[in-house]
Formats: sequence, structure tokens, C-alpha cells
Amino acid sequence: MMDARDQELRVLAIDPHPRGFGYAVFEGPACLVDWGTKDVRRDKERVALERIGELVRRYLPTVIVVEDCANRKSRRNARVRQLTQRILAAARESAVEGCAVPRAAVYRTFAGTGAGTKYGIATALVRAFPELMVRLPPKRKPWQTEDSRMSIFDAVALGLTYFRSLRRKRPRSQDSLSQNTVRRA
Amino acid sequence: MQTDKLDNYLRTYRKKLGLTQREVAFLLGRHGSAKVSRYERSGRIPDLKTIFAYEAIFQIPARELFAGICDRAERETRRRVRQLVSRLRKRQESPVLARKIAGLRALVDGGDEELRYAPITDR
Repeated sequence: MMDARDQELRVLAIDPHPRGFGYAVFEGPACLVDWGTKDVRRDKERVALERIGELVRRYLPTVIVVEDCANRKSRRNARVRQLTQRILAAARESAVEGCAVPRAAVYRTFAGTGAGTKYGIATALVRAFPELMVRLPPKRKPWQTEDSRMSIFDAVALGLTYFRSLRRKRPRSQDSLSQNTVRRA
Repeated sequence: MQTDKLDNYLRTYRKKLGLTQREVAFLLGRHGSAKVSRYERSGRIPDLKTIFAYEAIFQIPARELFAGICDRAERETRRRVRQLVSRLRKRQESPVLARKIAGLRALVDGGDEELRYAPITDR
């Protein structure tokens, strides 16, 4: 069941990939406000942070959610790890809460749908948000590189995992969210 | 922690329909997508005719499409209503003034409260 407090939260989930990043903006777990990818070709870190800054100014999110790349099991490359840290640092500077969600938590969130792969999660998301159907790439062959559109689905999955982690934590400590802090879901 | 609504949700509903800015511009009777982009980024507020066209395209009431602007306008109007009530109270009391104040207070206290008028009786 959706909580009224969840609806008050505007969450910006970001999933960096080698050619830019995917993003999703939520107003509660059932309301996807915006989604898409931003291509970054040159001076990747600076331009990516600028584009993220534009999104933050446009949507004024309460929380920025990224993947927990500091996690031991994370397989992200060094540039993406560094970018993720800088996104969290930028969030702290602009008094927005930053939250790092481990990949394992995302898989746990979607375990109930029977999705055990990234593509499985993406198809589960299309069932929940049919408007994402047009952005779902064909299933990747083992010899192909990942389609950049998959980062939209990764960002949406991160956002939903964040909302789920909120609901799990609430009974113990009502609204433990605090401004200007970086949390790990 | 209350998050204010966004100025508008034009981009959200356009993307939900799977339309491009150029296609929306055509539906609105515009030549290019520049104005559509400006409306979506809140760089410009569309005129009334365009707002109704948006309503017709997305089948969503204007107050939901422009939720943030609507909320702000309501808040500001309520604030001005309170100011007007406090100004009117300083005037000499009369039945007309009392009815006016009651009507204005109904606007501020409860949005859904209906204005009730005393029945007109023959003298």
C-alpha cells in the first residue's frame, strides 16, 4: 500500500553508464514523472555533473538515489564509481539527501516478480509502467554491448528499491530521513 | 517534509502518450517545438487557448497539468482573501459587510464549504 509520506517525496534516481547516464524522477513509488538518458561524449565527469545539476534545478528532488558503487560486490568501472561519489558529494552540497542502493537490494526488490536478470527487471518494470515500453531495447546478445536505454530501467529500479527500503525501515524508526545525509539502503 | 508540486506535468503526460514535442506542437497548431519545450521547462506559461488544447490532448484537467502553478495561485489568493477580510473588519458593521466577510471566510476556512444565504422573506 502506498504511504502518503512516500507521495510527498520527489526522488531522482541516476544510473551512470559509459556513455552518459539514465535518470528517473518519481513522486511516490507509483508516479513516474520523468525518465530518459543523457548522452555525454567529452569531458564526461564535468558534463555529466552539469546535466545532473540541470535535473536537480528542474525537479528539486528530496532525495538523489544512485547505485552503491562502494559496495564490495559492485562491478562498476573506476570512472563510474568516482562519478557516483561526486554525485553524492554534490547532493550534500546542495542540501539534498543522497542515498546509495546496493545492486543486491534491487534484485531482492524484484525477486517477487521472478526477475533474476537486468532484462527481467526491465520487463517487470514495463508491466508496472507501460509508458516505458517504447524505451525497452531488444534483449542483449552475449556478444553485444549493453544498450544505453537499459540505464533508464536501472534508474527506475533504483528509485523503486529506495521507496521499498523506506517502507521496510518505517515501523522501527518513524521517518528516519534526515536532510543532508548520505545513507545506504 | 512537504514537497511542492512541479509547475507543470506537461512533459510527464506527453511522454506517457509517447508523443514527441514536435507532434504536440502540431496538435497545438504551432510550427516548431521550441514553445512546447519552453512550456515544459516552465520558461513560459501557455495562454488560455493552449491550456485548453493541452487539456483536450491529454484528457487531464488543467489544475493537474499545472499543479504547481495552481497550488501557488490558490495559496496567494487565500493570503489576499485573509488580508481583505482583516481590512473589511475595520469598516463600520452592516449586514452586507457581514455577508461579504462570511463569504470570504468560507473561502479561507474550508474550500468545500458552500456559501449559505439567508432566505429572502417578504416584508
